[in-house]
Amino acid sequence: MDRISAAVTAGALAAAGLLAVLAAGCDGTTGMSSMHSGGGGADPPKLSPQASAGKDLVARLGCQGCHKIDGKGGTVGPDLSNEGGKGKSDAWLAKQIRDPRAHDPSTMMPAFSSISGKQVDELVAYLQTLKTGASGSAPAPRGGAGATKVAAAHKGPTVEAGSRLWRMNCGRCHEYRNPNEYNDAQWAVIVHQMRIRVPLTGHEQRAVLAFLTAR
Amino acid sequence: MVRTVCAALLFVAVVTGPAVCGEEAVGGEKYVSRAEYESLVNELRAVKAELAALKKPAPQRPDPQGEKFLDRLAEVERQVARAKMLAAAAQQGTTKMVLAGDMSAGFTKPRSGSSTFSAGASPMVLWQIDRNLLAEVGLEFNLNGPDLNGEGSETDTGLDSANVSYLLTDWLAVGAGKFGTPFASYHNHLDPPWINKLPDDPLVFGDGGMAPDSAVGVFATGAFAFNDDRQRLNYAAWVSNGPALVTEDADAAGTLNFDNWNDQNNNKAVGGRVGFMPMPGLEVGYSVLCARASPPDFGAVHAVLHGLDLNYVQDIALLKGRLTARGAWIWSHVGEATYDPTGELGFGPKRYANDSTGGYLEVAYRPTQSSIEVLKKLEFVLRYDYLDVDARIPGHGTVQRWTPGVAYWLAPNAVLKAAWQCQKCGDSDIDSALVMQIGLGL
Repeated sequence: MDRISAAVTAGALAAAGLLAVLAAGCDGTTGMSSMHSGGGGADPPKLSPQASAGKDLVARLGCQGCHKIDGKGGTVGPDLSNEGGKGKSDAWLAKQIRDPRAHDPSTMMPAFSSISGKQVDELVAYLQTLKTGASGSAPAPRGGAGATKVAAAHKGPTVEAGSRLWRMNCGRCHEYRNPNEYNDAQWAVIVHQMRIRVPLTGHEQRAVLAFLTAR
Repeated sequence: MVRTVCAALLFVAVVTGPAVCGEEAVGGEKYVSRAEYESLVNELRAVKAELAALKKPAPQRPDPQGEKFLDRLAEVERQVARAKMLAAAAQQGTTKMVLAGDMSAGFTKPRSGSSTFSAGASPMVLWQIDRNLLAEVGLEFNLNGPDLNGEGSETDTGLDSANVSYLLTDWLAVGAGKFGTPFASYHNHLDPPWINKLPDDPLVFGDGGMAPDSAVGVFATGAFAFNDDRQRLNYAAWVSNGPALVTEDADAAGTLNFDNWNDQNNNKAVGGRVGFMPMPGLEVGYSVLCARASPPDFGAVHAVLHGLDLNYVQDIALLKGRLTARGAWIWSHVGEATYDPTGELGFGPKRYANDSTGGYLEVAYRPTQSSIEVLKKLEFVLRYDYLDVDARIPGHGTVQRWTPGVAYWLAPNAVLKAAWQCQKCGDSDIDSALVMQIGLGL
């Protein structure tokens, strides 16, 4: 038993050391931890009311669960930091939001067909402001209204919270599955099983399901 | 205007008629003739008829555009009714079922020995009876190739899982049946072929390894999130029939058989795991399993296993990709016992305890932020395995293995993997093998 005790102690010390190294080496400005990093830097220029509403929608719909904007967000989808500088038309962007498979049949992006035309216009207006070097594309969940929305998200199973929890928990073991792979009823069963297996809290289960079924 | 004129005529007729008659009657100086009277009555009737005609609703004129609109509306209503009918027919019942699981096909070419193909499938049915109650049934099919004489080819079938669980609260779920044990995390999370980044399992979790992959019993599991969901603590505890001590096999006496589904000695095994996520992307876990593993007529032999596991995934801009580090280390102690005490099995009597250790560390890098599409789908993996089974057990000792490999992600649930195993057992020469596999998740 002495041998076991010594081995346990050595293993625990090794794990603690490794943990410290990993935590120290973690790039706080990227990856999964970045969604919670504090705000800072220069104040962004004022957006138009329509673009500002679009920016809020980006936070509410959890777009940064998959897309990176100004270095913050996921890598499942393309980086949107320069989306407005690519010369894409408003109509193209609106189509991409409404029916992304029209542009790429194999895309993982869910079709946001249930949001209103006004909201699509707001998202497009915001995306068109995203240009590399333009500080108007500050990440939504950092400080101010964005932080308020993130905090509000924890009170209920919102899409934004689900997006973040999906990225934190699901991608730790396996590749991100396409939300279009299953219908709502099937996702309900699968997320139920993952709650047992991971395990997740009830709040996390509901939030992740809200994200996966937000079409 | 017409109404006003008619009303005036009527008023004159009504008011002046009787007055004239009355005056004639009273005064007696002037009488109305029969003809005049009849004429007035006729006028009154005509006015009444006109009034009645005015009161009737005017006939509607046909509106071609309105008719078209009504036709279209009727057509839309018919289509909506049909869509409702189809939607109702396609609607799932309250019972929801999903086919999940995985399958794989593999190829192995040892440096010495013949190459072979292999295949396996593990379909799983998930049945959500209501929003708190879930049943999971998983089957396992594996091919065993024939020996050099062409005999012994068969398909192994097994019950991979069969359990039912119930969500009691947001932080607690309980279940019973045959379930994957969370011990050291690997079997419960990482071993399906569409998740595992290499074609084979780590030595410590493979056949002849040191960790249980499943158990029959009851379990409780749950999680707590705090600090704005940035940190989590999860736990699992179980009571099961437990492993069986191997006592009659000269090459394995003193080891634990985890593929044991019946209780050996009416003494249940108790296990648990606590996982902590200090920051998103990193989880460390500690597991323990205690059991009395000996058969009833063998004397009490206890086994204690400890395990540490690590899982770290992070997107790193500097590396333009995702870095994954996974590992586990297990300590196993089986109490001292005398094997083959009478010598009738031909290898005893031998008395020893079995103190073994083993583990693995796997590092993987996938350039997810590369601008080259093909490169984004590649993942480069390196794993180091170590297994040190107590040398007092005949035929055992230290095994080390290095496995560099590459995975090509065809889809999030489909991966093609190739790896080169370099293994060294004790003082023997290095053995190596090429292993390939395609893994699919259903």
